[in-house]
Amino acid sequence: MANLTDFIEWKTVQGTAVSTPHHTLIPESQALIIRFPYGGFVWQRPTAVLVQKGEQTQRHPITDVTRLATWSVLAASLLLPLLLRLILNKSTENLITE
Amino acid sequence: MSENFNKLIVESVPDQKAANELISRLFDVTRPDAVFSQPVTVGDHTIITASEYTAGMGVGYGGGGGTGPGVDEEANKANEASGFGGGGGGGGTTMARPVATIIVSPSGVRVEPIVDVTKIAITMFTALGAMAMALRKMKA
Repeated sequence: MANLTDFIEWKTVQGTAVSTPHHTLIPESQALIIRFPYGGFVWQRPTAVLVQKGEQTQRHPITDVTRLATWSVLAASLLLPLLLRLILNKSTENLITE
Repeated sequence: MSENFNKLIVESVPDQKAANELISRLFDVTRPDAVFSQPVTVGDHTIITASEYTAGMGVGYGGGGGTGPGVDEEANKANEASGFGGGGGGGGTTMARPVATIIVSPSGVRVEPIVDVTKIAITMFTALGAMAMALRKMKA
């Protein structure tokens, strides 16, 4: 029987190290892979870069500001009308009781 | 009929195999090198661009055959009034968007985000439109 993991895969992968005169960088990314019998979908995004200097390794996360902003705008557009409705309903109830 | 049909199936098998190979190659791109560009060095500074990458693909194929009433009795007997056909198609899309630049200098490593103002503005106007419509419905 086929498992769900045969069709959907979510993995974190590290790439080959890039050497610069002062540091060594290791790129890190996350990938979502969806497999269909006759097709597929791949979404991959960079997550961080690991910086090696001597024996020290630092992780520099990569933030997708554009996606953060678009999701924030979408969330606000859903929440604001709901909040407005709640406020309007409350004020109407208060007027009726008065 | 079965002879022609078998021929059709056998002929379509290499195409199906090629399509499956193409699909499997789609999943081979899931390596970090696909999202991180080759480093560009200018003086003491090295710059690497990190991008988000999306790809989708699908193929479909099929075939069939059938027999119909012949033009005359003789044709029916000889089973000549038959037809076979097959076909396939496919489509795909890829999208890449720069997310950040990694700047390596002697003083350290900086990750500078790339902000797509156009995308944010389009989302904002769409959201404002949706909000206006929702508010209008609420008032009605």
